[in-house]
This record gives sequence, C-alpha cells and structure tokens, in this order.
Amino acid sequence: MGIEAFVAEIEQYKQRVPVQLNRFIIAFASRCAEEVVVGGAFGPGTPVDTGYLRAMWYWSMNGGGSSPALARAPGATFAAPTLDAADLLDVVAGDTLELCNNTEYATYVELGTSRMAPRLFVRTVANAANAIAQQVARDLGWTDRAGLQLELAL
Amino acid sequence: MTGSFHTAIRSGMRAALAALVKATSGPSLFGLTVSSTTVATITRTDGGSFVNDGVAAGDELAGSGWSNAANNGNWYVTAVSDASLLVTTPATAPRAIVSEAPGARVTLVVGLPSLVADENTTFTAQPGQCWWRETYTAGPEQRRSLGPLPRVRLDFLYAISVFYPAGAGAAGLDGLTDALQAALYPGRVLTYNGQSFTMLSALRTGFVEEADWSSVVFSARGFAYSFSPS
Repeated sequence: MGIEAFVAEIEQYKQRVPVQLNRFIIAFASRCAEEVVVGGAFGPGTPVDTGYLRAMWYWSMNGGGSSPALARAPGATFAAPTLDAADLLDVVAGDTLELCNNTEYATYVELGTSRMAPRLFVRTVANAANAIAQQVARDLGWTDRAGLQLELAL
Repeated sequence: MTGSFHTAIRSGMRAALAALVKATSGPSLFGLTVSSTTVATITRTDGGSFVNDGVAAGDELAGSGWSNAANNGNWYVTAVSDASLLVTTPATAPRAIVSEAPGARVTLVVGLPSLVADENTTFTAQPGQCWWRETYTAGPEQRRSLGPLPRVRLDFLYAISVFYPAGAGAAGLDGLTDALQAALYPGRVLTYNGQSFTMLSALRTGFVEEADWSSVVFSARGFAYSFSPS
C-alpha cells in the first residue's frame, strides 16, 4: 500500500468512526430506555398500577426536554409512553442524554419504603449496562466487542 | 448459574456485613446508670468522646465487658454527647439491667442493625429500633468462553436499605453508609463456600423520609464467574 492509499484509508476511517459511534449511542440509549420503561431481558420495567409512573418518562438532551403533561383523575389509567426516537437523532458523542421522570413517588417505588421493598427498576438496568452494550454491539453487527466496557452513572 | 451460586453471593454479602464496624468506643471504664427498666445512661470519664468515636442517635450498640451479664447485649442510642449516651434496651426483649460504677473495661461497637429483613422472610419493624433490609437482584449472565462448560459472568446488585427512627438525625445513617462504602470498596473480593465474587461499585442515595423512619439505600454492584452453565 502506498502512502497516499494509507492516508486515504485513515481519512475514510475518521469519517466512519463518528457515524458508527452515533449509531451505537442511539441504539444503546434506546435499548436502555426500553428496559427501564417496559422491561425486557435486562430489567423488570417500570411497575404499573395506573400506568402514570411509566407514562411520565421523557428524554432530556443537554438539559432540554419537558415532562409530559398528564391529568390524573380517580380511576384513570395511562398507556406506555412513546419515547420519541426523533429526540435521539441529533445525539452525538459528547451530548448528555438523560431519561427523566418527574413523578413525585418515583423514588419510593425505586428505593422502597419501610412498608414496600425496593423495585430497583432503574438500578437493575444500570447494573446491566455492560451486557446491554454488548447486546447492542451484536445487534449492530459489530464483531470485535472485546474492549467494549460501558458504565451508566446514577 | 445455579441457585446455590446466588445463595453463596447473598450469604457472602451477609457475612461481610455482619462484620461491619461503623464505630467503636473503648475498651474503657464506662459507667451505667439505669433510670427505668429499659432506659439507661452510659457515661465516660476517660477524656474520650462518643461523638468523635462516631456514635450517633439511632445507632444500635453491642456492649461487652460489663460486670452484669444482662448489661451486655444490644442498646439503642437515643441521644449522644461527648461524655454520655442515653440508651434503651429493646422493649420486646427486656433484660434485667442494673447500674454499674466504672470498674470493668467495656467495649461498645456499632455495626449494621441486628434486625434484618432478609429476602424471603417475614419481618415486622419495631418502633424505635433501627433495622435494615436486603434486596438481591441477579443481573444478566454473559458467556465469556467457548466449550461445553463455558465461563459465565454474572453481574448482581445487592441493595441495603437502612432504616433509622425518624427524628434521629442524619449522622447515624451518614456514618453507616460511610462504613458500607469503605467495606464494599470496588475491587474487594469476597468468598463464601469456595465461590468468590468481586465488588464493582457502591452508591448511596439521598434520604427517604417517612412518618416513622428515615432511610438510605446503599446499592452495591458486583460480579462473579462460574463455570456452570445456566
């Protein structure tokens, strides 16, 4: 390989890496959100009674975003949220992406009380972050996953 | 992984936590003045400070070295000063406590509360007595090697919810979570029945306030390897 071809390959690589990285970030964030909100192989999902707690999840990118405005009434039930995938399309490496829930009793459900065991529906997913990352990498068709180690901050 | 492997992790965590020491006072010449069948005051004149030793309101003390055997055992701290502790015995298990002048060398140790709501057991909290609850969550299993008996990695989450009587203040829970943080440091390897597991990280939450209790949840992450397939 001549030096020009080598440089061209490096340039191509430089363009390809951010695209692949962004694909991974979006897929990883989506998968984590899915595990927290509705549950799956890596988490139990948000516990549902009326569904209000589950319906209140929303994305916040770099501090933006706003909580869903849902009116509570006796006997009302709420469907699972549709976390807008469009919110994630602009995400690039370096952005701060948060999955938020402003429900006033969310902490009690997650951490438990003296009368109720903790459900840990968020922490269980955070604990599985590395395995989720591995799974997402497999889903994206990446073959070299040996060095992929991620941690979620709580 | 087999159920016994999860049992080993839980048991190993329990054993490690049973040895937890948050604060120690003594051995020294302490006095005990009983004011009712369940209330007493422990005093010291050795120049030391119970506050500096780390004892706080809401703590459960394990005392040893008293001349009267009934004075040894568990005490619940309701007030602390440098030179004295106001303590109570469990009302549900009253002991024949008697006053003692300083004479024997006494040691007071604070660890995790003795009242535990272990998983899969029935538990009733007692008013005024601190307690804790374990919650064990097995995480995903990841195959790390090929072959008929692959090496499998299991991540787990062990949450410790500690409850102190409301109004006891934050010092007791803060000190206890500091001790937990120090005991379950990342990289610590624990072993139980030949199975070893490694701590990854430990996080505490803010206080959860209820009418009767203040609590903190301490979640410790760890992982273990097994050659046993699921």
